[in-house]
Amino acid sequence: MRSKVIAGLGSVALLAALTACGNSDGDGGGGGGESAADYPTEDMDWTIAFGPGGGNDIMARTMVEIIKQYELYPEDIRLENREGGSGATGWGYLLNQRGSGYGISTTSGSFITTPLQADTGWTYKDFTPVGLFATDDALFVVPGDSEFQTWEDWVEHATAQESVVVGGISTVNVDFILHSLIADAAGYEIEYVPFNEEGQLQTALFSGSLDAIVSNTGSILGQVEAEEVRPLLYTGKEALPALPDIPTGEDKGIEDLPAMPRGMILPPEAPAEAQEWWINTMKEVVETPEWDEYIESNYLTENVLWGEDFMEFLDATNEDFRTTLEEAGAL
Amino acid sequence: MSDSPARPEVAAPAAPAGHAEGRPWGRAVFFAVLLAVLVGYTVMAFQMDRITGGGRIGPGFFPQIIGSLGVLIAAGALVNSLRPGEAAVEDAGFEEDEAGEGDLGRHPLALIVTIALSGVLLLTLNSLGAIISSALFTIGLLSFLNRGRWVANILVAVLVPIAMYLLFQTALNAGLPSGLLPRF
Amino acid sequence: MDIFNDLGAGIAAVLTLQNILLLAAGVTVGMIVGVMPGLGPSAGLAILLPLTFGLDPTGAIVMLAAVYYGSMYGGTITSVLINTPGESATVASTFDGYPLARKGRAGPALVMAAVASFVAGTVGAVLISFFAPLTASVAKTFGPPELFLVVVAGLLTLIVIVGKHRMLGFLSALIGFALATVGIDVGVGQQRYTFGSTELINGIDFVPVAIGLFGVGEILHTVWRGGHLEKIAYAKVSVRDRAFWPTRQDYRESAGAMGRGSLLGFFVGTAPGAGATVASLMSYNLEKSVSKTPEKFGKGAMAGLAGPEAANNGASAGAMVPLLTLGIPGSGATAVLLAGFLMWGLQPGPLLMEQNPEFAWGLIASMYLGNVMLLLINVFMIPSFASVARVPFRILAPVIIVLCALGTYTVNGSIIEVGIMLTCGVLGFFMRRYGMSPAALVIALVLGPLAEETLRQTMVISGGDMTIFLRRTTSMWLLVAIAVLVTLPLLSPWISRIVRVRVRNAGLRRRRRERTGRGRPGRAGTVGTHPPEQPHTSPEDTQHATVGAEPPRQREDL
Repeated sequence: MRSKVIAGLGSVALLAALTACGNSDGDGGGGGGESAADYPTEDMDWTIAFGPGGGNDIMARTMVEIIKQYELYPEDIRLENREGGSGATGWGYLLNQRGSGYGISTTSGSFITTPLQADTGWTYKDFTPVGLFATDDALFVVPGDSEFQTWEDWVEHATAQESVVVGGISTVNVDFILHSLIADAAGYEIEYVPFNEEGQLQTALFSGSLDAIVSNTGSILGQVEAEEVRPLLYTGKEALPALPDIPTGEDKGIEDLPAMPRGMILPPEAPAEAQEWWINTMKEVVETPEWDEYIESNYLTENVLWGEDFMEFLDATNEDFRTTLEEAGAL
Repeated sequence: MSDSPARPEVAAPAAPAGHAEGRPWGRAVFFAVLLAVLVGYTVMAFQMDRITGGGRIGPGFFPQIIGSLGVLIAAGALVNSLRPGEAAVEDAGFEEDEAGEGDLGRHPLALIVTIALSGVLLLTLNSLGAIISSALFTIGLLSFLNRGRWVANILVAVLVPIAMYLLFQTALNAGLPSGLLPRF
Repeated sequence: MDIFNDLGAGIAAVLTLQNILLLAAGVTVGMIVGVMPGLGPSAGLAILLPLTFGLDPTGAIVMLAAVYYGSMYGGTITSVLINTPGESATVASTFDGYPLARKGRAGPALVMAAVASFVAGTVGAVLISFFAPLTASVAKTFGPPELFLVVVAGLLTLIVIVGKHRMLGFLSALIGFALATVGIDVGVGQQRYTFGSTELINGIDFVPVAIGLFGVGEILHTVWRGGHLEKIAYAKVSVRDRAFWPTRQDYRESAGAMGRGSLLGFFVGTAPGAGATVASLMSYNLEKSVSKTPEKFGKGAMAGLAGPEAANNGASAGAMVPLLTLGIPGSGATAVLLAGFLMWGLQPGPLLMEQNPEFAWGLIASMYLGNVMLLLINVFMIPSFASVARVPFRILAPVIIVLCALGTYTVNGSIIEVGIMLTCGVLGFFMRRYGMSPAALVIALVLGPLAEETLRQTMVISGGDMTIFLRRTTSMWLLVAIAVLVTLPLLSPWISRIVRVRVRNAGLRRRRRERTGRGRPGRAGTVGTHPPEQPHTSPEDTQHATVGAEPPRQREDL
């Protein structure tokens, strides 16, 4: 019986070894010989504060792919999804790496909204900014078979109703802020239905449960192309290249619509050389054709800001979010 | 909202103490603890809005229903368990599915040792790292459950954690704490 | 026919040597990942997704489909062998799978689960090929009101599984619902029962709770009743009983369950949301309702394993329908696949199948081939997996606890979740000891938030008007389906009485003919006790009703 146990364990170990062979980037050792002033000399511990498959996850994995492809980081990078608490867990983990130059993470809308909503023990101000690379703007869409052809049609309908039923992802989030700001500016009342998943949100629109939704361009464009939904408004500053005819918020007199900041941060009080190294490296990354392809295929708006400029951007976004959410009574 | 001491997810560890006091009491203590937690839950539920300002189902709506029903049933179960004859009869009924497996007695000590060692595993996992911590846990529990077979026990305690670490961390890159040992 | 051409072309495109190797590797790796508690299909896909970037899209999708099915089956293996569901869709597989393993039938149980998965995968691939557009148009009508009704149908399972202590079972479910209310309330964003902990903002995850309640709880219970002193092995696989294969009777008992499970799973799976979980629970419910021996359920009924297994695999095929035809992910695992699509430069959406037919059909084909490969690999792997059941419990106990602890840790790298898991282990022990139902708790925990969320969404949409459920076509049909599901168990004693009378008459006639022949039919194979509600029948009649069951089964299917 004992020998059977050991044989069983042996086969597990063997399988482990076999699978490890398939994973050619598994070399994480070494790197201790250089002097302390040099950066980097250790493995990078890269936190993705969300689950696999989301916008944040895709961006982080794309970045790491590019960094590995161009051999920009001399040591190993370990990517880890630390999901939970709308980012509170992952960024809380980064907070605990205070003073280290070897923890890193990417940001999204929750980077601002989660601390507004909950006592996370950190805000965006705590972290060392690397840079902003892009913003994720949204499309305001109605069902493809709806009678509204233009933004004006929609506003006319919506203002005539007591209220319209609109949907988006979660309550304290960019989607809700967008709906509130747009409805305020256009002068109609909304009943906002929060969803947890994009799939359920889109099906709810198709099923005739909702009048309109906002959705990130990348996740809804397939539906737009198939004419399952009809876009009426784009929340970005400039018209979307893929849909040049769709008016932006500014075209319709709705100014300063927020967007999800897609940026990068290091732990609080990270060494200056680490911040500098990552700013310089990311400047190379955003110049690569692979990065352009990522921006293009995910329909992001390139918006590059480095270091303190990124921090100022976050300040402004935070202020916008807070005032809108407070007015709507969500905080 | 955060001032109540009752936390559903930490309530259970209080229960093992009741177990050692003998069968009928263990049952009563378990349901008493459960009742206390559910009362705390319900009290907090009634501090939340049942209906939102807009006349919709509020955050407190379901917790209030769940809590009230839970308190009622838990209280009923507690009363039942305090009735002398009743408890013994029901107790026998619950172990019916063990029939035919051979009665090897009851082993509260083994149970407590297992729970205590699991607690140690939990507390040391981050500081000592996955391999050392689980090896200590394994050798500890094996030396109690599988007494006297030192060679086998040590082999299992060393090889199993290493194999799991290789599988989870090295092969799947799934992130285990490395603790005192270097990461590999 | 076009569809056969497309599917044929898909299979041909997939059948290269490289892809077959990828299939085999994917299934094996997926199975190993799935066996780890905590790592289910979506985690498995996410972990292995980056590895596929070096491959062409077809190769990548082949590998991922293989990983998907492998890890789903891996979850079944732990459900059956150590009572630990790795993900919510395999909770139903523990109900009868684990009792089977304890009776020494781990081998047949695992083979039957693989066969059920294979059947459901085949049915699913065929259904996708023929009905994808049609199903998609139905899936499009699933708004919050419909999802709520689907979840309610899943919750009805609670009635079936709470066991004989109704009140305690109900209390267990209430505890599950209570745990489910922890976290941010989706309606207004208020925090409930988080006590300021950021880890609890997103609520209590199913994974640590299920691993604790089932896996560790079972270990603690076995330790308490002296399992470590047993001379015989943990699961009592006798040396002579080397038959790892299900008996003919197992197949006969399971055939109907597989068929119903496959269809049910496929159609429930197309609804975005808790597809596979609800499907497997509904299937268990259904099988117990239509079974002639419902008292065997929970004690190792093969149909109680085959049905849910088929349903959860059917649902994973069903979840591909909205993904491929609407570009909408119906489950966590398909959301990861969707992310993969983006990375391979494919635009997910309704046009995916038109614009990239070879890719879409390649995916369908590799799902099918993944099932074939799974069955083949299982033939070789099951004996070694099943031999886990022969390791003495005193050695297995610490190994399983370590596995559960490390598995839970890897999900989110959270030590608090390991704490929740071990706490739930202790809770699970006491729940078992005092007649409560861990399964009811877990089901309530998984489905409770969905029920609350969808009901509240519905109420916002309708302005608080409950008649919305009657005003929508699909929700009307769902109400009818639920009504049938509820009345079936009530009617089934009546139906089976009629059936039994007919069977008895047939049996009497046959016995009259065979009067001079052999005596009583052999008892081989029937473990079951006689159904309690038929005192008027003699043992022989019961025997006919339970064993020679073909005609009555068909009758009940009508």
